[in-house]
Amino acid sequence: MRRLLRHIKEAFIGLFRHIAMTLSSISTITITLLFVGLFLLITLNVEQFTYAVEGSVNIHVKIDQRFEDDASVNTLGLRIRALNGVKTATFSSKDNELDAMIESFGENGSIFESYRGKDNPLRMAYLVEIADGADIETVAVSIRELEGVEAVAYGGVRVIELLSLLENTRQFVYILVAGLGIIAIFLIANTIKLSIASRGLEISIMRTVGATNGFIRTPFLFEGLLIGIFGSILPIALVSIGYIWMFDSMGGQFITPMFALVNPFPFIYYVSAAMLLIAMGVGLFGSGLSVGKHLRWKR
Amino acid sequence: MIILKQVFKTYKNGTNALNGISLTIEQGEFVYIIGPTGSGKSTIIRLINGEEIPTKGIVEVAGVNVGKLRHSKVPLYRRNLGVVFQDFKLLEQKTVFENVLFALEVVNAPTIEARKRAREACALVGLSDKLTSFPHQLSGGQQQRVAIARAIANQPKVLICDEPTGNLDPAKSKEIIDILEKINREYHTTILMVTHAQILVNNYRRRTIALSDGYLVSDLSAGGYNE
Repeated sequence: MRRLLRHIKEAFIGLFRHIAMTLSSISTITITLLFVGLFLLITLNVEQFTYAVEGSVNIHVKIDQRFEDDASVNTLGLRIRALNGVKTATFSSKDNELDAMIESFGENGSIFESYRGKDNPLRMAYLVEIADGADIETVAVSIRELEGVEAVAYGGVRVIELLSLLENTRQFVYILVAGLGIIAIFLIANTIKLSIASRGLEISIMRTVGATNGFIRTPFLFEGLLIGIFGSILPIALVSIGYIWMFDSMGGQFITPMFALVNPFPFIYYVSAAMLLIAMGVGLFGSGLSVGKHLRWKR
Repeated sequence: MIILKQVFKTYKNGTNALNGISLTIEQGEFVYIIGPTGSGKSTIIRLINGEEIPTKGIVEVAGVNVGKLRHSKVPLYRRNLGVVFQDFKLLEQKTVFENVLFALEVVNAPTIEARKRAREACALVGLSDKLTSFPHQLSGGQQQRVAIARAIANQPKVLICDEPTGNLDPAKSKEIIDILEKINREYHTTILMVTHAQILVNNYRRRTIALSDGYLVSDLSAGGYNE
């Protein structure tokens, strides 16, 4: 314990010895982590959106009245299922279609009840689920060309476009984070290098009197770790407060109810923990690079 | 205590620093190692403190074959040795007491025991009244005494002094030799002193080993040396 406290104390002394370098390292970590936080928020929310959208991307295939006999319906079903990109094709009877319509109108839907039975004007249909939302247009065109199809309808193209935009944003942020991460690592490595250089005499005395290499290295690793921790405070606060504010002010959804935002609790705890761990990892890795290079064990 | 058997040392640049040196130094001996620059004095010290590995031969200190020591064991082995340098190597931002204590702290000595030993070491070199002074407030001789206190604080079996009087005038040099003799006498510490100072070697006669071009040219137990 006494030893641990000593290492931490030495690490703090090291931080203040090169305050300018320390501050620049901390700032880089802060900026990097802000983007990491943004990246995590976008990624995890997009994942949730994708999950929600994937369930809703399907094609509604109306069957032509002239092909409502069982044999034709079955043949059409088989042909649809045989198409590339089709995951499932579920038959929906006229009654099922009416049920769906009534449900979609909510409380007022009951007025359509009178159509149930022989007077049902709706068409039989197939509900086609697509394996990959991106193929929806191609599959819809193929289905439209099949015999017995009166019309096809599908939604979600805009949704897919939006998702792909978010996906692109995510990739851009990812590259940015990787670049900033590398800069942060090198800045920390440089800060620690200065720290090691300024303690050259101390290190040589420690070696002479028999301090172990681990004992000599540890304060510098702590120094990197502390830079990481200090650098993470502001971005964690900003991302957490910002997300809670955004969630509240947007009513928990992004544009439409289909894009429900992930509830901030416990979500932000996980994001904050991830950010802290990343910051500590970057700090440790940066200082480890320097320590490995400049405090290489020699006899 | 210290045994060198047919020790050769050739550095990577091809320099033959030692050529078949054999010698034995008993526990409690006070030995001068003298010789001109490049004679191999510093190499002997580096071999003894485990910094270098002999190219051939055996270096044995306190029963430890130093050349065969695993890297990770070297720090523990070094706790048997104290080293005093010509340039003192004191930490300017630490007081006399803190400088001495530092050597004990970094080997993880228990706090109370470390403080007691640091105080005793300072007393032995006559610096009890300077504990709170900083190195820049001390004379060269006093600074070297702090370095000696730091080297003996861990109660080493061997004290290696690399030109300890090199930066001091004759009066201060005498002070240092007196302290080293006291340590040798009272603690039975083996002292290995590398020096250029012929006057000291002749005035304070002790076993004297002379090196030249990596060869042992004389080993006089009666002491004294004339080039």
